Amino acid sequence: MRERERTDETPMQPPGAACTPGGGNLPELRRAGEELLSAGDEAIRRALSADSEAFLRANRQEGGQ
Amino acid sequence: MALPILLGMETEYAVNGMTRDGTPVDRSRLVQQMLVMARQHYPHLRDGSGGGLFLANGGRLYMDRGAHPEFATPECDDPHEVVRYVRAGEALLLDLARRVQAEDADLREVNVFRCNVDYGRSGVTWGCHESYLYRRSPQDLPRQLIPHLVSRLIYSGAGGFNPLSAGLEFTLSPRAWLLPNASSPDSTGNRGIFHLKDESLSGPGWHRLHLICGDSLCSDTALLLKLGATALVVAAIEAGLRPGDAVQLASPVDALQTFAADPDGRASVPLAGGGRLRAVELQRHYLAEVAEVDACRPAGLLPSWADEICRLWREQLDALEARDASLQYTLDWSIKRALYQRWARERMSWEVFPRWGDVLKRLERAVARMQRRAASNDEELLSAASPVRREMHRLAPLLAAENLQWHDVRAFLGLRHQLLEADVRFGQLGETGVFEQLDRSRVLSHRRAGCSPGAPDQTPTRGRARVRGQWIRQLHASGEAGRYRCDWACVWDEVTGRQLDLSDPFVAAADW
Repeated sequence: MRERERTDETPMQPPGAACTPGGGNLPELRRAGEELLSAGDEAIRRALSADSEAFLRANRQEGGQ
Repeated sequence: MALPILLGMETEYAVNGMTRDGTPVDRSRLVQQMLVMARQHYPHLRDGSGGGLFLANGGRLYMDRGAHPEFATPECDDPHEVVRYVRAGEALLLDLARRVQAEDADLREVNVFRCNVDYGRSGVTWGCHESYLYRRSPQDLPRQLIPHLVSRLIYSGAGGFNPLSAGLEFTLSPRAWLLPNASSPDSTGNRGIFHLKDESLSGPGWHRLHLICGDSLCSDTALLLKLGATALVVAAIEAGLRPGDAVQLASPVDALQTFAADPDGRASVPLAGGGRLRAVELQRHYLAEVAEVDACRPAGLLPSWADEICRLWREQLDALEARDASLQYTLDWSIKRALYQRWARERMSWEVFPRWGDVLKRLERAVARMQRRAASNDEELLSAASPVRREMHRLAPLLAAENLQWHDVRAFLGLRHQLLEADVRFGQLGETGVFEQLDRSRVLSHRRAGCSPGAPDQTPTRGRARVRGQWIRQLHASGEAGRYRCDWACVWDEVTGRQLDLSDPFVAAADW
């Protein structure tokens, strides 16, 4: 996967910026929302272990704050 | 003349590792190995305890109680700089984890997590502390700041789940549920919204506001606003304003929990002097007070970045008031809420969560009544030999009334574990982290100009951290770093006793 450079030039506007309230572009807003949710679904799917209960048990904090 | 502003942040990170055969690796061993890597690959001076390191950017890396690494940013006079150093610290930790893994052929993975709470319902957390320099009397601060700290979580909350709940209760701030007092000197238990610790780490006349109520954040916008808005409120208090007087809360702890449980932003809380306000209204009050500093005081009292922060503050409050869709691309809690609702909806209705939470709470009470140890896992809790079998029968009519089926409890518990893991994985550093994946997919809009990390050795532009970092680099280059030690207020030569005094937080030149 090609890594994206973390620079100040990265676009600041949300994918749906042109369609935030007042922008009036509802289909574009829906498309951006769906894109986010699909990417989120895929990201969670990739990140989860095979056994979440075991992961949480193994990841207990042992002290700290 | 501008008010002297200096701020910084310390973040605790969770670490875990796995061998190739799937055995978990001892955490303190992993963190020690990370520190060894830091000593080998990064210019540094040993800290006063000898176990940690001060780095050439002026920050500090060390292992904290509980076997986790902690990175403290250098002191900065601009919140953009603090965001840059928080991200630089994360890049450092990720690099160290990768180096540890690469050095040990037996290790399959070493992971670092930017998380906030332990979902084992133990009440322990990974801290994310803010520090702000000030000169007023410490007694002045709690009254003026607590309403701000309670209400700022509408933009500064990490989102996640109530860590004390048996069910799944989405919250703006998981840490909010572990702050049972309005103020407290404790940080490991019995914590307060306002932390009473006053360890200045500077010379006489200076105090350090040390906040432990904030969440660790992935969004640059949320982090910048949390730091910038709070620094400006502290500056307003320094300028002689009393922004908290008009908005004293009847019960700060109740208000914090009310706001934390209200992602729609509809809830209001009672004020001590009568009337009620919503979190967004409390924040608008503080924003107006900060604006007052500029309007009524000599020009130039606030720093050059104040205008941008106030503009961002106003924009985010407007978006919160309007429940604008842009929030789900920008703020941690709003991104999480959108993602988790979607994940849950494909498996179970989000709306039944409170009902299952209530059922599980009753089962837990039944266990407690029987004075038995808690079931060690879900299978044991739901098995034929479960100590709460009778309670399950007793609850059958309630379930029927709620249109729930016992066989769905396993599905709910499975989903609960998945979402709690997803929340831990959200802030995982590196390309497998959920936030990191979304950021790389370019579906978010959290970035802010001036917040991208610079070179690893780059010091802040002003203040003692610049002097500290320059000397660390210089001593490292000369090969003499081994005989020096460093602390926030001093660098000293262990052989000759020579000292570099950094007790003046704004010192501009080295004076040995």
